[in-house]
Amino acid sequence: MKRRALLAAVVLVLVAGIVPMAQAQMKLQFYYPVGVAGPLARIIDGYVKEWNQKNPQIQVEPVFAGGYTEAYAKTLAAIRGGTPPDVAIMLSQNLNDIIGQDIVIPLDELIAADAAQVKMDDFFPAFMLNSTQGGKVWSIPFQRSTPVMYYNKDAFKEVGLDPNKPPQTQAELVAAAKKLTKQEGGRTTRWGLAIPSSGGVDTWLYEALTIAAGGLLYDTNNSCCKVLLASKPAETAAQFLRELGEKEKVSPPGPINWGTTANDFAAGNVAMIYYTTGGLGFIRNNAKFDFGTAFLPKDQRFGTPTGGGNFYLFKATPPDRRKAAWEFAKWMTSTEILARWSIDSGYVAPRKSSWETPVMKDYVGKYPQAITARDQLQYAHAELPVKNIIEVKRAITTALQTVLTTTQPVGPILAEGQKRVDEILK
Amino acid sequence: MRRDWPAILLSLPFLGPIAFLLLASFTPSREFGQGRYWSFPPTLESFSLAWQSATFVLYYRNTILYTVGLLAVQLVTVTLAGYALARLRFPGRQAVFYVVLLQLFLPPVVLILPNFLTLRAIGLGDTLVGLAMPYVASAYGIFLVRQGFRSVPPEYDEAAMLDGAGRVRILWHVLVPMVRPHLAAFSVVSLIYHWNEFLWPLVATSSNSNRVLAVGLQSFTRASESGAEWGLICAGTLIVIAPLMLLFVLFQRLFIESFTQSGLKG
Repeated sequence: MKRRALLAAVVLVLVAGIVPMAQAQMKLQFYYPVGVAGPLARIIDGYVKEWNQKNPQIQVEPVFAGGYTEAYAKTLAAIRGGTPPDVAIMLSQNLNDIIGQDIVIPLDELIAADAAQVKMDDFFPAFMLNSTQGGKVWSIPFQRSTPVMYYNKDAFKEVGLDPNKPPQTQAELVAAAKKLTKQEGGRTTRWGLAIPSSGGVDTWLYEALTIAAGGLLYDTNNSCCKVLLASKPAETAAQFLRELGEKEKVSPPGPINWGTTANDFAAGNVAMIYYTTGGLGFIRNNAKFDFGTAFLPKDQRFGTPTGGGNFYLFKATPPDRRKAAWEFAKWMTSTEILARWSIDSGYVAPRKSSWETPVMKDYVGKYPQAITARDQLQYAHAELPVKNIIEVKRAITTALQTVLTTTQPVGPILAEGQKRVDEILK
Repeated sequence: MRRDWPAILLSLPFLGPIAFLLLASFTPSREFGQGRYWSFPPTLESFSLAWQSATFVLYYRNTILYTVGLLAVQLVTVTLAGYALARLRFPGRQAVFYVVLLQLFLPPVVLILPNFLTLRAIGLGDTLVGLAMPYVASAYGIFLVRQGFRSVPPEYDEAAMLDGAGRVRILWHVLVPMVRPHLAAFSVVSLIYHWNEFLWPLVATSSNSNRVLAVGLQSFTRASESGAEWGLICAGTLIVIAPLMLLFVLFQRLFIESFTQSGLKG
């Protein structure tokens, strides 16, 4: 009898011990996309594993969710299915669409409660542009990039250009490109310049050219809903892009494909390219020549859009889980992780303090080309932030392709594109 | 040999990508990037990188469970449904057949969200069974097999019936052997389709332990924010399609026969 009582007591203690433990342990779902070739999914899983070891009460399950578009679709599906992720990385550019779906929460309260630890002013202001809307912060920068200009130093030397003085203005750019374009027997064996305009992130570099021409592709007073395609700077940019192939003959004629541009540069088929800083690792591994990176040359001004993905938290998550998700997001966007992620992936570390860490200093010492993107951030603008972004980008791309494949005047083509965009945004 | 020329010409557009796949995956990535598309000796570096980029053994297991398991169930359902629609007389048969046809015209992408919601509701979200569920009754298979049964003269059924065979026996011993080419053709289509499928498994599953090859492949070949690493992408693709290619080479004759026969009779 005594024995049985003892047993019951033991069971009781065990149950009493296990139940609170089971309650204390929380399982969070974390959706993330991958936009870079290579084992990035495994790297992210590795960070999460580290977190899980350090935080036995908050176990995070990393869920690879495809590319950015698919990850967004999967997130929406999960929310409608009643099983939302607790935290996710989504495109920073999608903010207006995401707010329109009413699925995320502003982070200001969470940030205010943790201000000393989060240090929002440690993030480069340029990377916060696509994170803020209506005076509120909606997402924390994580995997961010900007385009830079890569140039082949060996080719520069070959044609008598100073390899340490890359072109600063678009006029210098075209002049250098002319020198660098090499013809053999009526065939071009090396193009001077390539600015990709189709496939992948098709409107990104056009946006960069528009910014350089002194404009923006959207209205800052109505950033959710007004695109400025029929504008003087947008026209100048489109004209510039067309003339590179048509008139100056320093670029392959017609639209240039994003996917093969880095390969063409590494193969020496083109001497200068506009390309994402995320391609740095690829070019480093594949180019056998000495290369440099530089700011995108200016026309009226220096300038570039930013790109990439941020951390978001969701409305449907109950408060206790949200707190845990916030802890995780905070850790993932901490100085140390962002520095490691930058080195592992090629993205630009969005925290200033990440660049002061020993690992980062070591990395930059070895590959000084990585600094250009960071320094260019002082001239950066928000990436086209309007809603219905996928359709809008498609309409802009269509207009741009028409510019590059026909000889009709640029103005009317863009005006036509503007009409279509206005309809999409109505 | 001369008779084969048209066939060879026709196959060129399909051989091109395969040739590229082989060249890119066996050439050192650095050289391929510089425009040297062939190197000797070939290298396996891209394969080792691709293999490390995802948990392939797990994905193989899941993909085989998913595709083969689904096919086994499908073969039963499409045979029974095809038989019913071809041989049994019941009120509304034609209507049922039209409903099946209707499903053929619906692009599967449209059904992703409703299917996903249904799975969640019945507790099969993020499981391999749930992944297969929407395909258990294949309209394409039912249609194909029904046409197959209809091309078999009813005299066969009647003869077997005279010998005292029941419906199940007739179906199993008389009719199924005669529609084997249709079933084989359907099997090939089903296997390839589900082996390659990406969007539905991406949405329907979340845990790594329930993920299939196509999703795993996409996890390290996305290049919108970097350069296209052809070596890695092609090596990964080869790892994913190798079993199917091997199957096809081994059973090539069988595949082709089944397609031509089912086509002739259908």
